[in-house]
Amino acid sequence: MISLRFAFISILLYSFGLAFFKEIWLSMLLAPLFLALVKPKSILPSFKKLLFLNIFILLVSLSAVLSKEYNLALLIFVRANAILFFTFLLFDKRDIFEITASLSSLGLPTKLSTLFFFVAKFIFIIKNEFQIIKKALLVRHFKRKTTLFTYKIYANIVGMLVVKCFERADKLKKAMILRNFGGKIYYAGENSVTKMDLVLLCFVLASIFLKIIKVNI
Amino acid sequence: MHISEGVLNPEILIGGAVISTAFVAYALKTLKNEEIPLVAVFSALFFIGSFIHVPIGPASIHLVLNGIIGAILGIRAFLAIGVALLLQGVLFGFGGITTLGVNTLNIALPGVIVYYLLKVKFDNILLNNIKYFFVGFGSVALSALMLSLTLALNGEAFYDVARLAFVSNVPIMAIEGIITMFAINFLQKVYPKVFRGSLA
Repeated sequence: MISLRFAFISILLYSFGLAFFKEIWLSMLLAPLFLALVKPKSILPSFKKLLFLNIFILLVSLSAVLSKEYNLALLIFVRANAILFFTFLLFDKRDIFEITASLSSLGLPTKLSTLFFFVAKFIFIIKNEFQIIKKALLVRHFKRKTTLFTYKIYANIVGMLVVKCFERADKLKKAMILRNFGGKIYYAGENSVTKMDLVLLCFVLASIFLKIIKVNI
Repeated sequence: MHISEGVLNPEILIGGAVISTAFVAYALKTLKNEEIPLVAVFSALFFIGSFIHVPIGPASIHLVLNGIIGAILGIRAFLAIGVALLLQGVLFGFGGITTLGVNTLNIALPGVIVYYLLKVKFDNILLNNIKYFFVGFGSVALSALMLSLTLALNGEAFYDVARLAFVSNVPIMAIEGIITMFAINFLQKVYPKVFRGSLA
């Protein structure tokens, strides 16, 4: 199992490393290929997510093709897909609370890691509030159309969510004061480095520094 | 509105990261402990905004909400939007780690600008409504402009996609403007303390 702390270090190194590439080398795919072997069940969900995101990537590549920059177009396509595939494989089936907790173990300022924890908590709460409002609209037979009335309803939804945000934030603030909150959240998770973390790091470094088999058009 | 991983040159990525880090560091330094829940909840709202689909003809768009969040949080919008963008990047691939700085700058800075725009006072209802419309419209328009400029700075090969990025955002600007105008009017009637910082 790859620790999330190392997942962040790996993705940071891999994506910034690939950003400096001016040519396509097949070896740059070593890290995502290794991860695909380690997490075969994550391959299909990751590809599904990639399909949708490729609309923008293809548009950018097409823009380069129209300027007759074929190598650049291919580089963008391969680089973007490699980084995104690697990201999806790393974070597939990971809980948002685990992700935010791992960020705090990276040595972020205490206020920022506390903020990450609360964001994770509030995402569930606000999403739930939004689902309740959506259900209420369904019950009242609201039909979405391109009309000013529809936009007014959506504006009221946004307004209601803002009000809920304030109320929730106020409750949490009072709870923090009541519990004499010192500005730091403590996590019970482990921070040890596993063998798999080190192997992944080796593959990431190999993807960045090894230049094997150049691809040209 | 998000620029994907793997598209931009390293000079732009590093430039965007440095500027955004400066804003985030300032926001973090001035952030009090009791303000953390408010920033966190609006970060969550920005995250959820991508699930609120508004119809436009046969298609639909999702709300950006950088205007209204900027209008409420001011400079702290950099924190709220940056955190939400990082989570969107790793969970959904909207943006990413390398583009986090550029995307945060492109989306949060217009929000901070409209925070100061809201401080301009009018006695006229119509002028106030135009101002509220501009909070939504202007923030998305500025974000789209900055997005296009970022793509154009990447090289001549990206001029076409930069133009396309701006034009495709025009309907979003209009809808965000209308929704923000109605939402601010709603909030002023129902919960006026929301804009204590910007409208007081």
